Amino acid sequence: MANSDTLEYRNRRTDDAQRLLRLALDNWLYAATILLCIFFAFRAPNFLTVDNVINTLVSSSITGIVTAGFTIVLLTGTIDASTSGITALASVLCAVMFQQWGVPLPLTLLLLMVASILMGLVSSFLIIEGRIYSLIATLGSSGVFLGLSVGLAAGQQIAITKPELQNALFERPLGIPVSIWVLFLCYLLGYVMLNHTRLGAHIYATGSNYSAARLSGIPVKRVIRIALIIAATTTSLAAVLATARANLSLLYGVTIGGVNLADVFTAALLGGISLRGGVGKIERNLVAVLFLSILSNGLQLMGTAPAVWLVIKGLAFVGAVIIDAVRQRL
Amino acid sequence: MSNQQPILQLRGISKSFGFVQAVKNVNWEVYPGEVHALVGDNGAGKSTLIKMICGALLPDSGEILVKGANARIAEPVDAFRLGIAPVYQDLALVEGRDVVMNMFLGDELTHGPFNLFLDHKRMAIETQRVLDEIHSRIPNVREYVRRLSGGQRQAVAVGRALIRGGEVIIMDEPTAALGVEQTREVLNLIETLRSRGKTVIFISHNILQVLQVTNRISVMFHGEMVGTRKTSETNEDEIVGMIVGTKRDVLAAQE
Amino acid sequence: MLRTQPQPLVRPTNTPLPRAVLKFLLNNGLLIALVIEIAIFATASPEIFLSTGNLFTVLRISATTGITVAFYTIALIAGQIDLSTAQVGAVTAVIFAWMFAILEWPLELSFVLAMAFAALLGLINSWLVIRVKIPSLIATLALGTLCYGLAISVIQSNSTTGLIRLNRPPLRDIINTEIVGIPATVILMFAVYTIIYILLNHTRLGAHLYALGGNPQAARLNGIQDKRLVRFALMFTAMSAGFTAIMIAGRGLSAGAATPVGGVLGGPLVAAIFSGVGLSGGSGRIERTLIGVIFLAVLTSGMSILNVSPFARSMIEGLAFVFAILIDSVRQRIETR
Repeated sequence: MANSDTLEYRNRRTDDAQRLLRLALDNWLYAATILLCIFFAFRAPNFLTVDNVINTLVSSSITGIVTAGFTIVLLTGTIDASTSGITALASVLCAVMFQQWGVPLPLTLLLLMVASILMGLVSSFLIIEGRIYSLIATLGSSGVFLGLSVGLAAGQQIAITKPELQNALFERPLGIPVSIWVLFLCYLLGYVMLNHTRLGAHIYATGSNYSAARLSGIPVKRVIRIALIIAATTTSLAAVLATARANLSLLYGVTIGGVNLADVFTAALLGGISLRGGVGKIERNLVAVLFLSILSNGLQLMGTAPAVWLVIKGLAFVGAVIIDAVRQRL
Repeated sequence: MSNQQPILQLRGISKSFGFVQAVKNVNWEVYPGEVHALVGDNGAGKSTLIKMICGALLPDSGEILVKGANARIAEPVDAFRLGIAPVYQDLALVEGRDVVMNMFLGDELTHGPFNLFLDHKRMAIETQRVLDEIHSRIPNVREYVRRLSGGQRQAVAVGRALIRGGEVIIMDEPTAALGVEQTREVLNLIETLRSRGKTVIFISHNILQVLQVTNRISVMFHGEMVGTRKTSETNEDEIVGMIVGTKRDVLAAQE
Repeated sequence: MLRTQPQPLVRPTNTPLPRAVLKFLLNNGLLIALVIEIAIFATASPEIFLSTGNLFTVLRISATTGITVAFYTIALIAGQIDLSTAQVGAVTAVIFAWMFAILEWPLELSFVLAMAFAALLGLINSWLVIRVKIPSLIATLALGTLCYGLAISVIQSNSTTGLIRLNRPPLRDIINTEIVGIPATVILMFAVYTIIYILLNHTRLGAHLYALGGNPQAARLNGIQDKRLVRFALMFTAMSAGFTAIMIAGRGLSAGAATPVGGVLGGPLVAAIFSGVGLSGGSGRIERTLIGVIFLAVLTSGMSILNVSPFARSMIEGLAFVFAILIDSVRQRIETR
């Protein structure tokens, strides 16, 4: 829908109250995360142990990694709904190649990256050449990926008996688990790319004003294509981590792979990525992912029922959406 | 003309946005049956003034009189009811609907039990009648608006204003985005409206067009109404001078 | 088409024959595809596929999803995308099951209250869209997440199996009622489509829905009550989703959070897009939606008759969807040319 108030001039008074509100909206997440930590430190047993901190980070890694790529796509003003399809296909491919075909682990990972690029290209083909609205196009490609994954796995979950994959996951360089390294690496690369490269500048430009970006010579289609490939790659990476942890291929409908579109959306919106593209900072997303993870972990430690977490997650999503809307009106 | 009662009269209209006063204490009269131009530089306050007349904005102070009676125009519908029909710059057409449905947009004719059903037939006949009246060349009233040319679209938007019972037709920069041929169509359209006894408020940047089709010209500068001239008694230099503000003091002394 | 002009002066688009044919194919592609589809399944398995039993199976599958898709089409025409239908349906069915099977309230009361709850959820969606001014896509995705959580909470506090059993007698009989040999749900579906057809094409409400979706600003400037229309569309979508979910739960005798409606193409959004209802609002025809729904139902039943493997089945469904959206994009490009 077009902007609803083009005809009403908005009162753009920037008085102190409004500046304060904006400051609060921009930084409430940091404050909330700290307050949450303090609260759980007193109320949840074992919250502040080294094991639990690492646990929390590990459990946030999968959603976190997916969100990193998702954010980059969102910044170009595109919505990528193919997360579940890519997760399923990447996981099944990983299991099939590594377990059934006996491909060595490094080569498996390399081939998976190639597959991710192809998956990103399928989505971008539909969006760019097919000129289909991104959400629907990616819903379509997601459907195809899901179908492929179900077929490759012959409707089964593939158990992985070769130990190298899980062993690799359980490595702890410098005492920190691999998934946390991957998580931070993704955000570091994302941060540098978005803030210090031409591609990053082009991503922001494409998202904030597509036609202006195009007219000023930015290869907008290529930017969107690259963003979708990045998202497919990070999603595949997360899928491999999830597969390694379970030593089982994920199967859509049987085990949801720990990644779900709503989670990713919630994290991105809480982190202040605007849905209209071009606005947002990736580092804030990391905080949002951690915030959600800490909340889930603390509630678990306090012994609340899992369903309560689901309701809170839903409320967090609704809240994030409302905050995003309020910020846009300032 | 001045001894007639104005069809539209503004008294002391002001409007500000934050610290910016977009329209300052404007008094303005428009008489029935005339084509009245409203000109001024970008940001002179023309659009704001027009939006207040059309009900898209509420003035901070001042009053609007229609045919001598005090009018409160809070919503676009109120303006329609008073016979003020704007033709917006973007024309406010729904491209994926046909000419008929656009003509009756929001005010469709109905028939049948409880007036529940659309009267497609009567709407089509009415549409054709109005299009004929303004000499429009739209061959098929069931054509989608997105297939029409710029001039044809303008005709649909003007036709809608007439179907809505518009006495005062406000045309906001109707020729801004049009080619030579289509511009001529629009100017002919204004001519036709005048011959039907309608009042036209014509907002434009193009002084030559304004001099060509209007009866009178009003100029705004920095949110103020600096003056109104009879088209027959003025020239391009004077109007341009008023627009850029050099003749302002002289005028203030005169009025 | 009604032409009041006696003789057109200039034909607006001088359509050459091949393009006219192409346009006809694109406009009626779904119907042609349906005929081809039926022909393929009929030749592959004439005795089962062409039986009356299978005809009713197809119609029953259509009726299950079709009612939601019909209202969904209205929402899409008004420019609203509702991603919460699955979850709204789930929570409505679960709450219905809780009232009816666990609290043992009368059927009518449970049903009415459950539908009122679904309507409330639709109202919340429209509140987020109208007042908070969030795009419907996101607003509904968010509310859907919340509904999912609610559904799980209700289930977990009442059952350990993840399902609430629904084996009180009157329900299934009512759902499986037949009127002159035709399942009542099928009759209901056709009634819904007829009413919506009239509503969209022959009432002011319909004209306003198209106008709002086509150009919201123009609609507003011409005095169309946009907020009321959005509320109407989202409320009815939610209620139809709830209704369908209750029907499915009643037939399966249990309500769960993951009440499956179909495969990849199960969701009403996908079915509506498949039927050529544009996403950007203001376009779409309800009769085409009905054909799309039936097409998908024929696909489901035909593939299960032919024992198509789940692999091939989900591939075919996925490809059909991608194909449908590509066709739609071609049609839109031709129409705007």
